[in-house]
Amino acid sequence: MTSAAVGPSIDLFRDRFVRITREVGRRIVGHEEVVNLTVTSLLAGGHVLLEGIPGVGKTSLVHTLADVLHLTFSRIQFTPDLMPADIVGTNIVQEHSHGGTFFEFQPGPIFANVVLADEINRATPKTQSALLEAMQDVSVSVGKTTYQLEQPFLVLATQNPLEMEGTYPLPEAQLDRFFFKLKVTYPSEESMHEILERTTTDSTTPVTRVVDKPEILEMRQVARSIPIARPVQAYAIRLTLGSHPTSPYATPLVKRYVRYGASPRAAQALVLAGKIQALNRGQAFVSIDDIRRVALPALRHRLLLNFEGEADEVNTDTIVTELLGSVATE
Amino acid sequence: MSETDTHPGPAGQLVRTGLAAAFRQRRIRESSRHFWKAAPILAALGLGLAAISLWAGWAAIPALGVLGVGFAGLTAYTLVRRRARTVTDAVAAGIDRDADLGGELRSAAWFAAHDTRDAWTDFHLDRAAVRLDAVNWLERYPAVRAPRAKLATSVMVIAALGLSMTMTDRGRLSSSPLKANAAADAAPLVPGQPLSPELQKQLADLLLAAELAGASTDARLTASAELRDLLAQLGELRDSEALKELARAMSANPILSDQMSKEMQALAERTRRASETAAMPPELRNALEKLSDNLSIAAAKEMDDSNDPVAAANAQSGETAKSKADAPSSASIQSIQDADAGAGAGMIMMSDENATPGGDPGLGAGGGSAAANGGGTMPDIAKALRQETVEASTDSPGENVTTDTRHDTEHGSATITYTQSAPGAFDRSRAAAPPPVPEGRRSAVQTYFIRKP
Repeated sequence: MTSAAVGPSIDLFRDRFVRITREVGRRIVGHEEVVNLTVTSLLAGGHVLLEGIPGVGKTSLVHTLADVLHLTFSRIQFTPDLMPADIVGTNIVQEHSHGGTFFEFQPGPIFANVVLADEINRATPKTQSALLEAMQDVSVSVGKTTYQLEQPFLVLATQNPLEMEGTYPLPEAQLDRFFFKLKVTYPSEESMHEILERTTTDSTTPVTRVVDKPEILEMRQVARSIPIARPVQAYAIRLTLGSHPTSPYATPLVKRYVRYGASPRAAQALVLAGKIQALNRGQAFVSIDDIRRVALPALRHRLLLNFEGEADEVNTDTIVTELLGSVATE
Repeated sequence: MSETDTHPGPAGQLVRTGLAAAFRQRRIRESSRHFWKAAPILAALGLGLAAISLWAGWAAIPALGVLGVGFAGLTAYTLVRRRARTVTDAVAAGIDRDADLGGELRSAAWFAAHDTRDAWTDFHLDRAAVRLDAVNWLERYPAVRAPRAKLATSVMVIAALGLSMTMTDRGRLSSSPLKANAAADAAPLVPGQPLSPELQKQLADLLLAAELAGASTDARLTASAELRDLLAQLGELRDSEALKELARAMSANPILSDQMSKEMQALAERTRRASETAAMPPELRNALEKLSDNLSIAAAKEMDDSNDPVAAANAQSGETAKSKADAPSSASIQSIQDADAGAGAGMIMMSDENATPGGDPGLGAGGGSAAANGGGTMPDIAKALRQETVEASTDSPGENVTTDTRHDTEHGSATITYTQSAPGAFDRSRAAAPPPVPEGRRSAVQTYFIRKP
């Protein structure tokens, strides 16, 4: 690629990004930021944990996104009796027509481009861990065979923060594999009017598929091409290190309430998401503001609180916000 | 996807140049801003110091020094701040922020400095160079106006210089001790130059007050710093011409040339008497005493010049002549003290060694028999004896320890005799003067031996 081709590729990227978010926005009302960050995560090759009370449109968002992206979609409703094989698939015995039997692999719902893991915290840790390999390596192993998942692969998990009884909170290892944790908030009054108008009439809002698989993969490639200056990258590293209580960049809240800070995956997420944010602005460079914009969804689920933090019900958003305010940008 | 080159591209150079220009403009503005922030403070400091110097009578040097050194330092600081420096990431970030470039300049500055080239970096640098070129840095970093600071600085500097010039003028009129000494030197030491009328009057008042009041000198006179300075100078005055000028200045009537030695002698005498005033501060007494000595010597010399050997001999005898001149009036010192428990009061009389044995016996306690001094009568004698007896245990200089004794002893002219013994030849060995005290140690010795009240 020459420098002359960079400009058009940026414009193309931006145009596609805008089309995706606009198309999703036709059906999902009042969650522009969530849509934007979900698409960002998709283009970065990450997975998203959506947290919100029931009925705010989490599942609809994932459905719509799959429709718009022209990707295969599957939904897994996580329940306590859900087994790993129910997710990844299993070998079943088949009979040959000429007699005899053989094992045939029956792929599970994980074999899709967009997987909705609804209420993921209701399944047992054993089942939750079935997603680990798929999310990290984009492959699943059944028996002695490893099956590659098709790219793009995006897991969108949802969890309800209120009904915690009978749930199994996600372990840190699994939480860390989510690129972003997005909080789907309650829609505003104006958005509610829009939602009601769209959903209480006999007319449905159709969405068109604006981007297909190859285009998404191309967008991913473009996103990784954008250069990042060392000082900006250093800021992302300082933010990540600052989430550790023993770090010199640690803030008072981090020192008091955090047991373990964010992993290097957090820094990767900050930089990658920053690059996509920069492209989305039509720029060929990553700025400090791009990093700051994605710091909250990239870091909030990667902070492991200590006993005092849990007892005081400290919100990790508060800690990250303080971190953003105290870590030097220069 | 793209090849990487390590050679700096033209866009990178443009970014570097543009950034350096912006940084230079920024430095100029920052240094000017700092200069005009500090200049009024410095000027105010100089003005304040000048005002204090004027009030306290100091020299103008400190105020001028503060202004000069301060502004020189400030100018040096400004020049150093304006010097070309490396554009760091922090500087690039600051300029980026000032120009509202959204981090593009900062990022481009890093890539331009590190010469990392690929298609994306080149594209980034190209765009950054274009945007950088579009920025009007003179508009972003305009020259500092600071009209109020400039006006305030100018006014205060001018005021400080004006005050300093006033101080210099006043300094010539002896506002500072240094200048006062110089003025004191100039007035009486230079022949033909008259003594300042004000100081002349103060000196005359002091001498008159000492003659009339004796024990209570006018505190206002002795408190005069200028008079003290003048007396200190006069005490060191040995030039005969200058002393003549002083005598002439202090005389009420015009002095004929043949009367000069007498006038000088008379002034020496007046000065000596004033120096013996108990209430006078020690330093004034010393100065007056020195002046008296110098005047006596100068008078003797004048007498020599006018071929008057008799008067000259009298004058050259110094304190001896002085003692002779007023032997009846200057009370020789008697001290009455307890000799022992059974002996009652013993009386020691210090009198002129040349006194005839059958002379006037009235030179005892009470201050002599001279009617002019109001002494010699029984009530006076009784009063003096009672006073000395009572106060002997609480001797304090200026109170009951008369300075006559000290002066006579110091000059080796003290005589001693016993009133209860038969008049006879004076035993000089008993009145041997102490070794002469060096001039420089004199005040220290006095301070040591004279008990403070």
